Amino acid sequence: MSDSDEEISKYITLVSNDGFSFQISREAAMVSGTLRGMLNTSFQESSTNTIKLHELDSLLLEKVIEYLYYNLKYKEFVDVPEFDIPTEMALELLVAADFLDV
Amino acid sequence: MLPNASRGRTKIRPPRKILSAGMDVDKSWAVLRKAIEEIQHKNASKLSFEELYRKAYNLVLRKHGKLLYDRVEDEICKYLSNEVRLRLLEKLNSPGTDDHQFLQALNLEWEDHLLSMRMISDVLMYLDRVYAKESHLPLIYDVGLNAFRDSVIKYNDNEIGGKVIGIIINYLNTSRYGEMVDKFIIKAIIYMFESLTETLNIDVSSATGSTSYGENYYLHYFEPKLMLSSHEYFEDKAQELLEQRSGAVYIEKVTQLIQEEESRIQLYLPDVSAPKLIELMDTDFISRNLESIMMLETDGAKSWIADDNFSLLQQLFTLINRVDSEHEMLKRRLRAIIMINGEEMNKQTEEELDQEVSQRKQEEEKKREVAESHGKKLIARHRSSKEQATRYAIKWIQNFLTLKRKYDAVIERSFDNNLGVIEEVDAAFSTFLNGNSKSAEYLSLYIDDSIRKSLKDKSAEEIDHTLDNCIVVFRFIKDKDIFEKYYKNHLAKRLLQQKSLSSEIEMNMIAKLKQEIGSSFTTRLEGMFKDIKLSQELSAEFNERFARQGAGETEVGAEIRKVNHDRRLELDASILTTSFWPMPINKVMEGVQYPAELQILREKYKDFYEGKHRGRNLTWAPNFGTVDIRMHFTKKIYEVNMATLAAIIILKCFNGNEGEKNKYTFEEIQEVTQIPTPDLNRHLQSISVASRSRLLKKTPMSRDIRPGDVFEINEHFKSPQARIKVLTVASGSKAEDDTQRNETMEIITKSRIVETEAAIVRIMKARRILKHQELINEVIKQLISRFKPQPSFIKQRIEDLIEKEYLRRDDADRSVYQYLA
Repeated sequence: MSDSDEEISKYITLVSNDGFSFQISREAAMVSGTLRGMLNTSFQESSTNTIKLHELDSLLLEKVIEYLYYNLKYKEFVDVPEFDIPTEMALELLVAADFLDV
Repeated sequence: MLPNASRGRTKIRPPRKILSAGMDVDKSWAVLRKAIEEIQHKNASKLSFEELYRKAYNLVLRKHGKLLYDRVEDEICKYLSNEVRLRLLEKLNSPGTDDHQFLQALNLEWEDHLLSMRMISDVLMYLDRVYAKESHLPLIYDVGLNAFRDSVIKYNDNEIGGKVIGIIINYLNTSRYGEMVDKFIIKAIIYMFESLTETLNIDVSSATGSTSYGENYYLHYFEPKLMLSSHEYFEDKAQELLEQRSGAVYIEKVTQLIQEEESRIQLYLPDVSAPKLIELMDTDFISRNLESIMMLETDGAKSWIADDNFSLLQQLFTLINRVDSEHEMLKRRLRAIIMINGEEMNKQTEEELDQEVSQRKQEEEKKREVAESHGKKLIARHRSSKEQATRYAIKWIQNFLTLKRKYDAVIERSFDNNLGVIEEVDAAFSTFLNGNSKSAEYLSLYIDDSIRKSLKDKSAEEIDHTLDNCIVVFRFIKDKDIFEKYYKNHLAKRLLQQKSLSSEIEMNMIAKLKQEIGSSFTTRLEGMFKDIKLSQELSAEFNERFARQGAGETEVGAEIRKVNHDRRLELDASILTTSFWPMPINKVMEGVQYPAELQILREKYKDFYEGKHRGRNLTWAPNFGTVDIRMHFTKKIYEVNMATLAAIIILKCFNGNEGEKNKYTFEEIQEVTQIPTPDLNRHLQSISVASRSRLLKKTPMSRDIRPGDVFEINEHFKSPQARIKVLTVASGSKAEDDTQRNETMEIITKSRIVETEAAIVRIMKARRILKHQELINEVIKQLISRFKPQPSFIKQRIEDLIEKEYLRRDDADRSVYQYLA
């Protein structure tokens, strides 16, 4: 199938709909079910290691990425510090979370 | 990631308006449809996951979930039915494709389809997550699997599926005949069949929405065919082997076939089928046929046991173990075979005996010829029928033990020392042994022979081993009281005639019996021993005293000297406690007239004994014991050992001086001695007819003693030895004839009545009031170590006791008994 036979890269790139690129670790991306699906199947994204997210702008994406790392960090913990969510962003984040399956 | 809400009055930004009103459903679907097609044709790498996901996401978000779901399903079905299926059919029908290539093609299509479905369902993740779950529909991936089942495998009346099943079953059959087949492809196809669920149950209870594991295509379509074809194969094989009519071949082949089939199952078939197929195989090979195989006349279980074919029997056991952990089939056969073995053993024992007799006859014939050629006459010694019966008894027990040892070895080496089998075999031996009403007597005779003769010069281990064997037989005997009766008789004779090889052996035997059944059984036997030991001490003391008296210058001394003419005179008396010993006090013997020599001993001993034990009553039994006499004949002096009664005849009638009466008729002898007729008959026979000990001359010379016969001292008596032993007819322990047996049984029945009544009284005395059935059970429990009383027998005893007013029935409840003090 796809010829992503070069070594699996440890980092991947997320691009927001306003053109900002974010390099995040593959591990963090895997927190999201949707991103995981994109990277694990032999679609375009898995060979380029770049995912363009038409649904999210850079502000939102940044917050999402913050959450991905937060989630990764405290996955195994019981006492987890609260994740700060700016109130004005709450609804948008909710939608994004649904979209990304986190 | 729901945050802690209400934090001041900050304005929440609404999500970006992605749901631009005029989104074109058909356009979106067209993109997705195209993508599915691309995925199915392996062109996915050009597609953007994000785009497709977003399209599906938007469709679902706008409530077009059902539309999307249905169209996707439709699309998959169409592809499978119109492309995959047709490709496969083409392969199937093309002459250039063999079965193997076809299976590979199918497997390839299947794997491709799985991969496509993986990708499609990934892209439609949002549809699964939101629409399928909420509507309790199968996930897209499962929709794909079902589509494969319905649009490829089962399409057109199971067209492709049926073909595939046929091919695989054919493969398995060829492999049964030793051909190599590609196990990977078989495994792969079966795995595919297993993945195709039959009844689709969405597990509603758990939110995961996964299908529950239930019926699948393999179980529903493949397995029944597999079982059917396997059954045919097993039956054919079994039939083929049965026709060879050789049990050994059958067992070895079946063992091998089962091994092969099991590794085949492991290699090709899923775990769910293994137990079913193994059960089918075991039924076809083992449960159905093995019993008739065991029953084969020439090459069945019986001959294997006879030939000590341990390895084959072990295989047999292993096979039976597969179908029945209780081994009922084996037990049934073993019991039957042991019964036949028993019959054969009876016959064999007789044959051995006949052989022995004819051999002996031949030898005697030869001897006689030699003797006659020297002008001598020899009277053939006939073995009495009783002697024959005794030999038979001993041989019978020996053969029984040999048979038992054979089975012990088989059980140990082939039947894994299985407890159930041991029990069954023991029960069968017990049935056979107790089926012979004389077995208790036989055993006692066998022990008697061992202790008298056959254990001579044997090592301690050998002796112990033989005695242990006796216990083995003893354990099987149900009527232990009958055995006790015979054992006591035989022991008494051994003790009185001092015929035991050693008292250690006797004590060893009794100790073993005691250990086996308890001291109540052996107290009397031990009492007999004590009597003999005490008697010996008493005799020694008496003889010393008697000798002193004889030498003394007293009146008594003079009297003794007068009687015995200064010759040595000794007495070895055995004092027997009546209740320990089996022989009854014989009143007839009290009238017997003793010669002076014996009379004086008798009187002196009586004085001596009563001086020691005041109040005890001595009764003399001259019908036991022996006397040593030195006899002066014309040519030589002989020391003769003979029975007491024979000695009384000689001393009383034929010990006169020159010129006194020396010829006596039968009647005269009886007149003088007062010996009862049968005993007189016997003893006269032993001293006047038996060739080696013809101390008396009888006129007329005939074998039988008749009234009117005349006896005198045989002055020309000659014997090569200086010491002679007169063998009394029927001395040693012999088997009983029917009359004696009936007498014995009568005695035993009488003692059983006493024992049963004693047990009833004992129980009732302790319990006072008891129900009928409980009483019966208690009595059986108490007596079982000696014999097994029939309930009717016990009932009769209870009636008797009621009559004797030991018990009475309860007025209210007639099945309850009361004890009357």
